[in-house]
Amino acid sequence: MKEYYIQTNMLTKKYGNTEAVSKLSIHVNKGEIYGLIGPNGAGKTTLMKMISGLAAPTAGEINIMGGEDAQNRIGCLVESPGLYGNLNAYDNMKIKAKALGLYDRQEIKWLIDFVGLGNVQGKKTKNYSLGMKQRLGIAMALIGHPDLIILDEPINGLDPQGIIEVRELILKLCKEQDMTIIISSHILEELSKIATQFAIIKSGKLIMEISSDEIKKTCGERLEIVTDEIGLCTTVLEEMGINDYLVENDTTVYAKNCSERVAEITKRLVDSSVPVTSIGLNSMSLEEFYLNAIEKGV
Amino acid sequence: MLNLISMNLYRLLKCKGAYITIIIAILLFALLGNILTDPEEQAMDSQIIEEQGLDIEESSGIGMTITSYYNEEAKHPQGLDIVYNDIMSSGLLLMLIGIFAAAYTNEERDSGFLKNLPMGSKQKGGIFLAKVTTIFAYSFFIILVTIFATKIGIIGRTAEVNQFYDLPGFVKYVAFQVFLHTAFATFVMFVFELCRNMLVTVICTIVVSVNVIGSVFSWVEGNIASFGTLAKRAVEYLGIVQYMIVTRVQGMNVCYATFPHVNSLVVGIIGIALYATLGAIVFSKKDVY
Repeated sequence: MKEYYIQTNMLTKKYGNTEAVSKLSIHVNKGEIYGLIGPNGAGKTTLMKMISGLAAPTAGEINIMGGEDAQNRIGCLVESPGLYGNLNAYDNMKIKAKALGLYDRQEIKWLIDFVGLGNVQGKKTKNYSLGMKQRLGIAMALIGHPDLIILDEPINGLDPQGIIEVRELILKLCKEQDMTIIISSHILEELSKIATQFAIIKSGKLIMEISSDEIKKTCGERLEIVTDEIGLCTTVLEEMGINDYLVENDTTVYAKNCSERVAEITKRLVDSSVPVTSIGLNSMSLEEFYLNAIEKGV
Repeated sequence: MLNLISMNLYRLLKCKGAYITIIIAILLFALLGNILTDPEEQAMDSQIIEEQGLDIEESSGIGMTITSYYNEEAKHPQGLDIVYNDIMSSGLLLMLIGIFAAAYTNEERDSGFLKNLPMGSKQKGGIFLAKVTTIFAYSFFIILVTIFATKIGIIGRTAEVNQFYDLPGFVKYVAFQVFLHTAFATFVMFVFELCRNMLVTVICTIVVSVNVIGSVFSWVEGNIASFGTLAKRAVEYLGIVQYMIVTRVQGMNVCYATFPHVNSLVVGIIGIALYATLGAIVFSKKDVY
Protein backbone atom coordinates (compact mmCIF):
# COMPACT_ATOMS: atom_id res chain seq x y z
CA MET A 1 0.00 0.00 0.00
CA LYS A 2 1.36 3.38 -1.01
CA GLU A 3 2.42 5.67 1.80
CA TYR A 4 1.48 9.32 1.45
CA TYR A 5 3.07 12.29 3.15
CA ILE A 6 -0.37 13.42 4.27
CA GLN A 7 -3.43 11.27 4.19
CA THR A 8 -6.84 12.09 5.60
CA ASN A 9 -9.33 9.36 6.16
CA MET A 10 -13.06 10.11 6.28
CA LEU A 11 -12.27 13.47 7.83
CA THR A 12 -15.33 15.26 9.14
CA LYS A 13 -15.81 18.59 10.85
CA LYS A 14 -19.14 19.71 12.21
CA TYR A 15 -20.09 23.16 13.51
CA GLY A 16 -23.36 22.54 15.31
CA ASN A 17 -25.45 20.59 12.85
CA THR A 18 -23.58 21.88 9.82
CA GLU A 19 -20.95 19.67 8.26
CA ALA A 20 -18.17 21.95 7.01
CA VAL A 21 -16.14 18.95 5.92
CA SER A 22 -17.74 15.60 5.28
CA LYS A 23 -15.91 12.26 5.10
CA LEU A 24 -13.05 13.78 3.15
CA SER A 25 -10.10 11.63 2.14
CA ILE A 26 -7.17 13.27 0.39
CA HIS A 27 -3.70 11.98 -0.42
CA VAL A 28 -0.66 14.22 -0.66
CA ASN A 29 2.76 13.02 -1.75
CA LYS A 30 6.01 14.45 -0.44
CA GLY A 31 7.34 17.35 -2.48
CA GLU A 32 4.01 17.88 -4.18
CA ILE A 33 2.12 21.14 -4.68
CA TYR A 34 -1.40 20.16 -3.82
CA GLY A 35 -4.11 22.58 -4.96
CA LEU A 36 -7.45 22.79 -3.23
CA ILE A 37 -10.24 24.10 -5.42
CA GLY A 38 -13.81 24.77 -4.43
CA PRO A 39 -16.42 27.49 -4.18
CA ASN A 40 -16.76 29.70 -1.10
CA GLY A 41 -17.80 27.66 1.92
CA ALA A 42 -16.62 24.41 0.32
CA GLY A 43 -14.55 23.55 3.40
CA LYS A 44 -11.05 24.28 2.07
CA THR A 45 -10.02 26.49 5.00
CA THR A 46 -11.54 24.10 7.53
CA LEU A 47 -9.59 21.24 5.97
CA MET A 48 -6.38 23.28 6.13
CA LYS A 49 -7.05 24.19 9.75
CA MET A 50 -7.52 20.55 10.66
CA ILE A 51 -4.30 19.50 8.94
CA SER A 52 -2.35 22.24 10.74
CA GLY A 53 -3.89 21.33 14.10
CA LEU A 54 -5.74 24.63 14.52
CA ALA A 55 -9.09 22.82 14.49
CA ALA A 56 -9.90 19.39 15.80
CA PRO A 57 -11.75 16.96 13.52
CA THR A 58 -15.18 15.79 14.64
CA ALA A 59 -14.50 12.40 13.09
CA GLY A 60 -11.94 10.73 10.88
CA GLU A 61 -8.19 10.94 11.03
CA ILE A 62 -5.22 12.78 9.63
CA ASN A 63 -1.94 10.98 9.12
CA ILE A 64 1.06 13.17 8.63
CA MET A 65 4.29 11.34 8.07
CA GLY A 66 6.36 11.82 11.17
CA GLY A 67 3.52 11.46 13.65
CA GLU A 68 2.37 13.95 16.27
CA ASP A 69 5.53 16.08 16.18
CA ALA A 70 5.08 16.56 12.46
CA GLN A 71 2.62 19.35 13.16
CA ASN A 72 5.52 21.36 14.54
CA ARG A 73 7.10 21.16 11.09
CA ILE A 74 4.21 22.93 9.41
CA GLY A 75 4.22 26.55 8.34
CA CYS A 76 0.84 27.97 7.59
CA LEU A 77 -0.99 31.00 6.35
CA VAL A 78 -4.66 30.30 6.96
CA GLU A 79 -7.33 32.89 6.16
CA SER A 80 -5.77 36.31 6.75
CA PRO A 81 -2.20 36.73 8.04
CA GLY A 82 -2.16 36.77 11.85
CA LEU A 83 -0.10 39.80 12.79
CA TYR A 84 0.20 42.11 15.78
CA GLY A 85 -0.71 45.43 14.20
CA ASN A 86 1.25 47.58 16.64
CA LEU A 87 4.48 45.71 15.90
CA ASN A 88 6.68 45.80 12.83
CA ALA A 89 7.51 42.88 10.54
CA TYR A 90 10.69 41.97 12.40
CA ASP A 91 9.02 41.84 15.83
CA ASN A 92 6.12 39.78 14.51
CA MET A 93 8.53 37.29 13.01
CA LYS A 94 10.69 37.27 16.11
CA ILE A 95 7.69 36.38 18.29
CA LYS A 96 6.85 33.40 16.10
CA ALA A 97 10.50 32.32 15.87
CA LYS A 98 10.78 32.45 19.66
CA ALA A 99 7.65 30.32 20.03
CA LEU A 100 9.27 27.68 17.84
CA GLY A 101 12.64 28.06 19.57
CA LEU A 102 14.17 28.96 16.21
CA TYR A 103 15.08 32.60 16.65
CA ASP A 104 17.79 33.61 14.21
CA ARG A 105 18.15 37.32 13.53
CA GLN A 106 19.86 36.79 10.18
CA GLU A 107 17.24 34.35 8.94
CA ILE A 108 14.41 36.73 9.85
CA LYS A 109 16.09 39.61 8.05
CA TRP A 110 16.72 37.38 5.03
CA LEU A 111 13.09 36.26 4.94
CA ILE A 112 11.83 39.84 5.17
CA ASP A 113 14.06 40.79 2.25
CA PHE A 114 13.08 37.62 0.41
CA VAL A 115 9.39 38.57 0.40
CA GLY A 116 10.21 42.12 -0.62
CA LEU A 117 9.49 43.91 2.66
CA GLY A 118 13.05 44.94 3.44
CA ASN A 119 12.32 48.60 2.79
CA VAL A 120 9.29 48.71 5.13
CA GLN A 121 10.44 46.40 7.93
CA GLY A 122 10.34 49.19 10.50
CA LYS A 123 6.75 50.13 9.70
CA LYS A 124 3.94 48.89 11.96
CA THR A 125 2.04 46.10 10.23
CA LYS A 126 -1.32 47.81 10.85
CA ASN A 127 -0.18 50.32 8.22
CA TYR A 128 0.60 47.61 5.66
CA SER A 129 -1.50 47.07 2.55
CA LEU A 130 -3.26 43.71 2.16
CA GLY A 131 -0.60 42.59 -0.28
CA MET A 132 2.21 43.48 2.14
CA LYS A 133 0.44 41.58 4.91
CA GLN A 134 0.13 38.56 2.63
CA ARG A 135 3.84 38.69 1.88
CA LEU A 136 4.67 38.90 5.57
CA GLY A 137 2.24 36.04 6.27
CA ILE A 138 4.13 33.92 3.75
CA ALA A 139 7.47 34.90 5.32
CA MET A 140 6.14 33.90 8.74
CA ALA A 141 5.03 30.55 7.39
CA LEU A 142 8.59 29.97 6.17
CA ILE A 143 10.27 30.50 9.56
CA GLY A 144 12.34 27.49 10.50
CA HIS A 145 12.21 25.85 7.04
CA PRO A 146 9.09 23.75 7.59
CA ASP A 147 8.57 20.49 5.70
CA LEU A 148 4.99 21.34 4.87
CA ILE A 149 3.52 24.71 4.04
CA ILE A 150 -0.20 25.37 4.04
CA LEU A 151 -1.21 28.47 2.13
CA ASP A 152 -4.83 29.56 2.07
CA GLU A 153 -5.44 32.04 -0.75
CA PRO A 154 -1.86 33.37 -0.58
CA ILE A 155 -2.20 35.63 -3.62
CA ASN A 156 -5.26 37.45 -2.31
CA GLY A 157 -4.68 41.18 -2.59
CA LEU A 158 -1.39 40.87 -4.45
CA ASP A 159 -0.63 42.93 -7.53
CA PRO A 160 0.28 41.10 -10.78
CA GLN A 161 3.99 41.41 -10.03
CA GLY A 162 3.39 40.06 -6.52
CA ILE A 163 1.42 37.12 -7.90
CA ILE A 164 4.30 36.19 -10.20
CA GLU A 165 6.79 36.50 -7.33
CA VAL A 166 4.72 34.33 -5.00
CA ARG A 167 4.26 31.76 -7.78
CA GLU A 168 7.99 31.64 -8.38
CA LEU A 169 8.65 31.46 -4.65
CA ILE A 170 6.32 28.49 -4.23
CA LEU A 171 7.88 26.64 -7.17
CA LYS A 172 11.34 27.38 -5.79
CA LEU A 173 10.49 26.12 -2.31
CA CYS A 174 9.05 22.95 -3.74
CA LYS A 175 11.92 22.24 -6.13
CA GLU A 176 14.94 23.46 -4.19
CA GLN A 177 13.93 22.66 -0.63
CA ASP A 178 11.69 19.68 -1.29
CA MET A 179 8.85 21.26 0.64
CA THR A 180 5.35 19.90 0.35
CA ILE A 181 2.81 22.63 -0.25
CA ILE A 182 -0.94 22.64 0.11
CA ILE A 183 -2.44 25.69 -1.49
CA SER A 184 -5.93 26.97 -2.14
CA SER A 185 -6.88 29.73 -4.50
CA HIS A 186 -9.89 31.08 -6.31
CA ILE A 187 -7.68 32.08 -9.23
CA LEU A 188 -7.74 28.73 -10.96
CA GLU A 189 -5.50 29.65 -13.88
CA GLU A 190 -2.86 30.72 -11.38
CA LEU A 191 -3.19 27.50 -9.44
CA SER A 192 -2.96 25.47 -12.64
CA LYS A 193 0.49 26.95 -13.22
CA ILE A 194 1.97 25.53 -10.03
CA ALA A 195 -0.07 22.65 -8.60
CA THR A 196 0.80 19.10 -9.51
CA GLN A 197 -2.22 17.54 -7.87
CA PHE A 198 -5.73 18.94 -7.32
CA ALA A 199 -8.63 18.21 -5.02
CA ILE A 200 -11.97 19.64 -6.04
CA ILE A 201 -14.21 20.15 -3.02
CA LYS A 202 -17.81 21.18 -2.81
CA SER A 203 -20.03 21.41 0.28
CA GLY A 204 -17.33 19.73 2.34
CA LYS A 205 -17.19 16.71 0.06
CA LEU A 206 -14.42 15.63 -2.24
CA ILE A 207 -15.63 15.72 -5.84
CA MET A 208 -12.41 14.44 -7.32
CA GLU A 209 -8.70 14.18 -6.75
CA ILE A 210 -6.83 14.56 -10.01
CA SER A 211 -3.27 15.20 -11.19
CA SER A 212 -2.38 18.12 -13.42
CA ASP A 213 -1.39 15.61 -16.16
CA GLU A 214 -4.85 14.05 -16.03
CA ILE A 215 -6.45 17.49 -16.21
CA LYS A 216 -4.30 18.36 -19.23
CA LYS A 217 -5.38 15.14 -20.88
CA THR A 218 -9.04 15.79 -20.12
CA CYS A 219 -8.83 19.42 -21.16
CA GLY A 220 -6.82 18.55 -24.28
CA GLU A 221 -7.69 19.79 -27.76
CA ARG A 222 -11.18 19.10 -28.99
CA LEU A 223 -13.17 19.93 -32.10
CA GLU A 224 -16.11 22.21 -31.42
CA ILE A 225 -18.93 21.96 -33.96
CA VAL A 226 -21.87 24.36 -33.76
CA THR A 227 -24.90 23.27 -35.79
CA ASP A 228 -28.68 23.25 -35.64
CA GLU A 229 -28.73 19.55 -36.68
CA ILE A 230 -27.03 17.85 -33.77
CA GLY A 231 -28.56 14.43 -34.53
CA LEU A 232 -27.38 14.45 -38.14
CA CYS A 233 -23.98 15.75 -37.10
CA THR A 234 -23.37 12.95 -34.58
CA THR A 235 -24.51 10.36 -37.14
CA VAL A 236 -21.88 11.64 -39.57
CA LEU A 237 -19.23 11.55 -36.82
CA GLU A 238 -20.13 7.95 -35.97
CA GLU A 239 -20.02 6.98 -39.65
CA MET A 240 -16.47 8.34 -39.69
CA GLY A 241 -15.60 6.16 -36.68
CA ILE A 242 -15.48 9.09 -34.25
CA ASN A 243 -17.32 7.91 -31.16
CA ASP A 244 -15.50 10.02 -28.52
CA TYR A 245 -17.75 13.03 -28.62
CA LEU A 246 -19.84 15.02 -26.17
CA VAL A 247 -23.12 16.76 -26.94
CA GLU A 248 -22.84 19.91 -24.89
CA ASN A 249 -26.29 21.35 -25.74
CA ASP A 250 -28.82 21.58 -28.61
CA THR A 251 -26.35 23.30 -30.90
CA THR A 252 -22.84 22.28 -29.80
CA VAL A 253 -20.95 19.03 -29.95
CA TYR A 254 -17.33 18.39 -28.91
CA ALA A 255 -15.34 15.66 -30.67
CA LYS A 256 -12.09 14.41 -29.15
CA ASN A 257 -8.96 12.89 -30.61
CA CYS A 258 -9.68 14.12 -34.12
CA SER A 259 -7.53 17.22 -34.44
CA GLU A 260 -5.78 15.68 -37.51
CA ARG A 261 -9.06 15.17 -39.36
CA VAL A 262 -10.64 18.63 -39.20
CA ALA A 263 -10.64 19.16 -42.99
CA GLU A 264 -12.06 15.69 -43.62
CA ILE A 265 -14.82 16.14 -41.00
CA THR A 266 -15.75 19.57 -42.39
CA LYS A 267 -16.03 18.13 -45.91
CA ARG A 268 -18.18 15.17 -44.77
CA LEU A 269 -20.51 17.45 -42.78
CA VAL A 270 -20.99 19.76 -45.77
CA ASP A 271 -21.46 16.78 -48.13
CA SER A 272 -24.08 15.38 -45.74
CA SER A 273 -25.94 18.73 -45.76
CA VAL A 274 -25.29 19.43 -42.05
CA PRO A 275 -25.75 23.19 -41.56
CA VAL A 276 -22.48 24.04 -39.78
CA THR A 277 -22.51 27.44 -38.09
CA SER A 278 -18.90 27.13 -36.93
CA ILE A 279 -16.21 24.52 -36.58
CA GLY A 280 -12.82 24.78 -34.93
CA LEU A 281 -10.26 23.37 -32.49
CA ASN A 282 -10.15 24.61 -28.91
CA SER A 283 -9.35 23.27 -25.48
CA MET A 284 -11.26 23.29 -22.19
CA SER A 285 -10.00 25.81 -19.67
CA LEU A 286 -9.37 24.81 -16.08
CA GLU A 287 -12.35 26.95 -15.16
CA GLU A 288 -14.62 24.99 -17.49
CA PHE A 289 -13.20 21.75 -16.16
CA TYR A 290 -13.79 22.92 -12.61
CA LEU A 291 -17.34 24.07 -13.33
CA ASN A 292 -18.12 20.77 -15.05
CA ALA A 293 -16.74 18.85 -12.10
CA ILE A 294 -18.66 20.96 -9.59
CA GLU A 295 -21.85 20.55 -11.61
CA LYS A 296 -21.42 16.79 -11.77
CA GLY A 297 -20.64 16.70 -8.10
CA VAL A 298 -24.04 18.11 -7.12
CA MET B 1 7.11 25.18 26.82
CA LEU B 2 10.21 27.29 27.55
CA ASN B 3 10.02 28.60 23.99
CA LEU B 4 6.43 29.67 24.52
CA ILE B 5 7.35 31.38 27.80
CA SER B 6 10.19 33.18 26.05
CA MET B 7 7.79 34.24 23.29
CA ASN B 8 5.27 35.56 25.80
CA LEU B 9 7.88 37.50 27.78
CA TYR B 10 9.09 39.13 24.58
CA ARG B 11 5.53 39.91 23.58
CA LEU B 12 4.89 41.38 27.05
CA LEU B 13 7.83 43.74 26.57
CA LYS B 14 6.30 44.86 23.28
CA CYS B 15 2.75 45.09 24.63
CA LYS B 16 1.43 48.63 24.83
CA GLY B 17 -1.35 47.55 27.21
CA ALA B 18 1.22 46.43 29.79
CA TYR B 19 2.79 49.89 29.89
CA ILE B 20 -0.58 51.63 29.98
CA THR B 21 -1.78 49.57 32.97
CA ILE B 22 1.54 50.11 34.76
CA ILE B 23 1.29 53.88 34.26
CA ILE B 24 -2.34 53.90 35.47
CA ALA B 25 -1.34 51.82 38.52
CA ILE B 26 1.58 54.15 39.32
CA LEU B 27 -0.64 57.23 39.13
CA LEU B 28 -3.41 55.64 41.19
CA PHE B 29 -1.12 54.35 43.93
CA ALA B 30 0.83 57.61 44.13
CA LEU B 31 -2.42 59.56 44.39
CA LEU B 32 -4.04 57.24 46.91
CA GLY B 33 -0.81 56.98 48.90
CA ASN B 34 -0.85 60.73 49.16
CA ILE B 35 -4.53 60.94 50.10
CA LEU B 36 -4.51 58.11 52.66
CA THR B 37 -1.51 59.44 54.57
CA ASP B 38 -2.32 61.47 57.64
CA PRO B 39 0.90 62.93 59.06
CA GLU B 40 -0.74 64.13 62.24
CA GLU B 41 -2.34 60.82 63.09
CA GLN B 42 0.88 59.05 62.25
CA ALA B 43 2.87 61.23 64.57
CA MET B 44 0.36 60.70 67.38
CA ASP B 45 0.17 56.98 66.72
CA SER B 46 3.89 56.43 66.84
CA GLN B 47 4.17 58.29 70.05
CA ILE B 48 1.30 56.48 71.77
CA ILE B 49 2.38 53.06 70.52
CA GLU B 50 5.86 53.72 71.77
CA GLU B 51 4.55 54.75 75.17
CA GLN B 52 1.71 52.28 75.67
CA GLY B 53 2.43 49.37 73.35
CA LEU B 54 -0.38 47.53 71.59
CA ASP B 55 -3.30 45.47 72.88
CA ILE B 56 -4.48 42.36 71.13
CA GLU B 57 -8.02 41.99 69.90
CA GLU B 58 -9.67 39.03 68.22
CA SER B 59 -12.47 39.29 65.73
CA SER B 60 -14.10 36.71 63.52
CA GLY B 61 -15.94 36.85 60.26
CA ILE B 62 -16.22 35.15 56.89
CA GLY B 63 -14.98 31.94 58.44
CA MET B 64 -11.72 33.39 59.73
CA THR B 65 -10.55 34.53 63.13
CA ILE B 66 -8.33 37.56 63.01
CA THR B 67 -6.16 38.85 65.79
CA SER B 68 -5.12 42.45 65.43
CA TYR B 69 -2.83 44.77 67.27
CA TYR B 70 -4.94 47.47 68.68
CA ASN B 71 -4.64 50.57 70.73
CA GLU B 72 -7.71 52.58 71.63
CA GLU B 73 -5.95 55.88 71.23
CA ALA B 74 -3.61 54.97 68.39
CA LYS B 75 -6.33 53.68 66.10
CA HIS B 76 -4.28 53.27 62.96
CA PRO B 77 -0.57 52.91 63.25
CA GLN B 78 0.77 54.00 59.88
CA GLY B 79 3.68 53.10 57.70
CA LEU B 80 4.36 52.60 53.98
CA ASP B 81 3.27 48.97 54.30
CA ILE B 82 -0.01 49.91 55.96
CA VAL B 83 -0.88 52.61 53.42
CA TYR B 84 -0.04 50.18 50.62
CA ASN B 85 -2.14 47.53 52.31
CA ASP B 86 -5.09 49.94 52.47
CA ILE B 87 -4.86 50.65 48.72
CA MET B 88 -4.51 46.95 47.84
CA SER B 89 -7.61 46.13 49.91
CA SER B 90 -9.66 48.23 47.49
CA GLY B 91 -9.08 45.63 44.77
CA LEU B 92 -7.96 48.31 42.31
CA LEU B 93 -4.78 46.54 41.32
CA LEU B 94 -6.66 43.27 41.07
CA MET B 95 -9.05 44.89 38.62
CA LEU B 96 -6.20 46.42 36.59
CA ILE B 97 -4.28 43.14 36.35
CA GLY B 98 -7.50 41.31 35.48
CA ILE B 99 -8.35 43.74 32.68
CA PHE B 100 -4.78 43.54 31.39
CA ALA B 101 -4.92 39.72 31.37
CA ALA B 102 -8.18 39.87 29.38
CA ALA B 103 -6.74 42.39 26.91
CA TYR B 104 -3.50 40.43 26.55
CA THR B 105 -5.40 37.25 25.69
CA ASN B 106 -7.85 39.07 23.47
CA GLU B 107 -5.07 40.72 21.46
CA GLU B 108 -3.55 37.33 20.73
CA ARG B 109 -6.85 36.02 19.44
CA ASP B 110 -8.02 39.20 17.74
CA SER B 111 -4.83 39.51 15.70
CA GLY B 112 -5.10 35.89 14.60
CA PHE B 113 -1.48 35.37 15.61
CA LEU B 114 -2.25 31.96 17.09
CA LYS B 115 -2.99 30.72 13.58
CA ASN B 116 0.74 31.00 12.91
CA LEU B 117 1.43 28.31 15.46
CA PRO B 118 0.33 24.92 14.15
CA MET B 119 0.40 22.47 17.04
CA GLY B 120 -0.89 19.09 18.02
CA SER B 121 -3.79 19.16 20.49
CA LYS B 122 -1.52 17.83 23.26
CA GLN B 123 0.81 20.80 22.90
CA LYS B 124 -1.89 23.43 22.56
CA GLY B 125 -2.46 23.70 26.31
CA GLY B 126 1.13 24.92 26.64
CA ILE B 127 0.15 28.18 24.94
CA PHE B 128 -2.22 28.96 27.82
CA LEU B 129 0.19 27.80 30.53
CA ALA B 130 3.00 29.95 29.11
CA LYS B 131 0.76 33.00 29.50
CA VAL B 132 0.29 32.22 33.20
CA THR B 133 4.04 32.49 33.82
CA THR B 134 4.10 35.79 31.94
CA ILE B 135 1.22 37.12 34.02
CA PHE B 136 3.08 36.02 37.16
CA ALA B 137 6.12 38.07 36.07
CA TYR B 138 3.86 41.00 35.20
CA SER B 139 2.05 40.83 38.59
CA PHE B 140 5.37 40.72 40.43
CA PHE B 141 6.67 43.72 38.52
CA ILE B 142 3.52 45.84 38.84
CA ILE B 143 3.30 45.15 42.59
CA LEU B 144 6.91 46.24 43.09
CA VAL B 145 6.35 49.35 41.00
CA THR B 146 3.20 50.30 42.90
CA ILE B 147 5.04 50.03 46.24
CA PHE B 148 7.46 52.66 44.99
CA ALA B 149 4.57 54.71 43.61
CA THR B 150 2.88 54.61 47.04
CA LYS B 151 6.15 55.71 48.64
CA ILE B 152 6.36 58.66 46.25
CA GLY B 153 2.75 59.55 47.08
CA ILE B 154 3.52 59.46 50.81
CA ILE B 155 6.68 61.52 50.41
CA GLY B 156 4.51 64.11 48.66
CA ARG B 157 2.58 64.47 51.92
CA THR B 158 5.17 63.80 54.61
CA ALA B 159 8.55 62.22 55.01
CA GLU B 160 7.64 60.77 58.40
CA VAL B 161 5.50 57.86 57.26
CA ASN B 162 8.33 56.56 55.23
CA GLN B 163 9.11 53.61 57.45
CA PHE B 164 7.64 50.13 57.58
CA TYR B 165 5.37 49.03 60.38
CA ASP B 166 6.44 45.40 59.94
CA LEU B 167 8.97 44.88 57.14
CA PRO B 168 9.32 41.06 57.28
CA GLY B 169 5.53 40.77 57.43
CA PHE B 170 5.22 43.11 54.48
CA VAL B 171 7.66 41.07 52.36
CA LYS B 172 5.51 38.01 53.01
CA TYR B 173 2.37 40.03 52.32
CA VAL B 174 3.76 41.18 48.94
CA ALA B 175 4.87 37.68 47.95
CA PHE B 176 1.43 36.25 48.77
CA GLN B 177 -0.28 39.07 46.91
CA VAL B 178 1.76 38.24 43.79
CA PHE B 179 0.41 34.68 43.90
CA LEU B 180 -3.16 35.84 44.59
CA HIS B 181 -3.09 38.42 41.78
CA THR B 182 -1.64 35.86 39.37
CA ALA B 183 -4.39 33.43 40.38
CA PHE B 184 -7.02 36.08 39.69
CA ALA B 185 -5.51 36.95 36.28
CA THR B 186 -5.41 33.23 35.43
CA PHE B 187 -9.08 33.03 36.38
CA VAL B 188 -9.79 35.97 34.03
CA MET B 189 -7.91 34.28 31.17
CA PHE B 190 -9.88 31.10 31.84
CA VAL B 191 -13.15 33.06 31.67
CA PHE B 192 -12.00 34.59 28.38
CA GLU B 193 -11.25 31.17 26.92
CA LEU B 194 -14.69 29.99 28.02
CA CYS B 195 -16.68 32.84 26.47
CA ARG B 196 -14.13 34.30 24.03
CA ASN B 197 -15.73 37.69 24.48
CA MET B 198 -13.75 40.69 25.70
CA LEU B 199 -16.75 42.66 26.99
CA VAL B 200 -18.16 39.76 29.01
CA THR B 201 -14.70 39.04 30.44
CA VAL B 202 -14.10 42.65 31.47
CA ILE B 203 -17.54 42.93 33.11
CA CYS B 204 -16.87 39.67 34.93
CA THR B 205 -13.43 40.96 36.01
CA ILE B 206 -14.88 44.17 37.44
CA VAL B 207 -17.75 42.44 39.22
CA VAL B 208 -15.50 39.79 40.77
CA SER B 209 -12.64 42.14 41.67
CA VAL B 210 -14.88 44.45 43.72
CA ASN B 211 -16.02 41.32 45.53
CA VAL B 212 -19.69 41.51 44.60
CA ILE B 213 -19.81 37.73 44.45
CA GLY B 214 -17.96 37.46 47.76
CA SER B 215 -20.49 39.83 49.35
CA VAL B 216 -23.42 37.78 48.07
CA PHE B 217 -21.89 34.54 49.35
CA SER B 218 -21.02 36.26 52.63
CA TRP B 219 -24.65 37.33 53.04
CA VAL B 220 -25.83 33.78 52.27
CA GLU B 221 -23.32 32.28 54.68
CA GLY B 222 -24.28 34.84 57.35
CA ASN B 223 -27.90 33.80 57.03
CA ILE B 224 -27.01 30.13 57.22
CA ALA B 225 -24.84 30.78 60.29
CA SER B 226 -27.79 32.47 62.04
CA PHE B 227 -29.62 29.14 62.21
CA GLY B 228 -27.58 28.00 65.18
CA THR B 229 -24.22 26.94 66.52
CA LEU B 230 -23.97 23.91 64.26
CA ALA B 231 -24.73 25.97 61.16
CA LYS B 232 -22.22 28.59 62.29
CA ARG B 233 -19.51 25.96 62.69
CA ALA B 234 -20.39 24.50 59.31
CA VAL B 235 -20.03 27.91 57.70
CA GLU B 236 -16.72 28.43 59.50
CA TYR B 237 -15.28 25.24 58.10
CA LEU B 238 -17.11 24.86 54.81
CA GLY B 239 -17.96 28.44 53.81
CA ILE B 240 -16.44 29.23 50.43
CA VAL B 241 -15.95 32.97 50.94
CA GLN B 242 -12.79 32.37 52.92
CA TYR B 243 -11.33 30.42 50.00
CA MET B 244 -12.07 33.07 47.41
CA ILE B 245 -9.09 34.82 45.85
CA VAL B 246 -10.63 38.29 46.11
CA THR B 247 -11.51 37.80 49.79
CA ARG B 248 -7.92 36.86 50.47
CA VAL B 249 -6.52 39.82 48.52
CA GLN B 250 -8.76 42.25 50.38
CA GLY B 251 -8.57 40.50 53.76
CA MET B 252 -4.82 40.19 54.11
CA ASN B 253 -3.48 42.82 56.46
CA VAL B 254 0.03 43.51 57.62
CA CYS B 255 -1.34 44.68 61.00
CA TYR B 256 -3.03 41.40 61.77
CA ALA B 257 -0.79 39.09 63.71
CA THR B 258 -2.67 35.90 63.13
CA PHE B 259 -4.49 36.44 59.87
CA PRO B 260 -4.14 33.12 58.06
CA HIS B 261 -1.55 34.43 55.61
CA VAL B 262 -0.23 30.98 54.82
CA ASN B 263 -3.76 29.96 53.87
CA SER B 264 -3.77 32.91 51.48
CA LEU B 265 -0.67 31.53 49.82
CA VAL B 266 -2.35 28.13 49.53
CA VAL B 267 -5.45 29.76 48.02
CA GLY B 268 -3.20 31.60 45.54
CA ILE B 269 -1.22 28.54 44.51
CA ILE B 270 -4.30 26.31 44.25
CA GLY B 271 -6.07 29.09 42.32
CA ILE B 272 -3.23 29.31 39.80
CA ALA B 273 -3.03 25.53 39.42
CA LEU B 274 -6.80 25.10 39.12
CA TYR B 275 -7.48 27.88 36.62
CA ALA B 276 -4.30 27.17 34.62
CA THR B 277 -5.34 23.53 34.26
CA LEU B 278 -8.93 24.39 33.37
CA GLY B 279 -7.80 27.11 30.98
CA ALA B 280 -5.30 24.81 29.26
CA ILE B 281 -7.99 22.12 28.86
CA VAL B 282 -10.56 24.55 27.43
CA PHE B 283 -7.92 26.12 25.18
CA SER B 284 -6.79 22.81 23.73
CA LYS B 285 -10.36 21.59 23.20
CA LYS B 286 -11.46 24.67 21.29
CA ASP B 287 -10.47 25.51 17.74
CA VAL B 288 -8.19 28.41 16.93
CA TYR B 289 -9.91 30.96 14.75
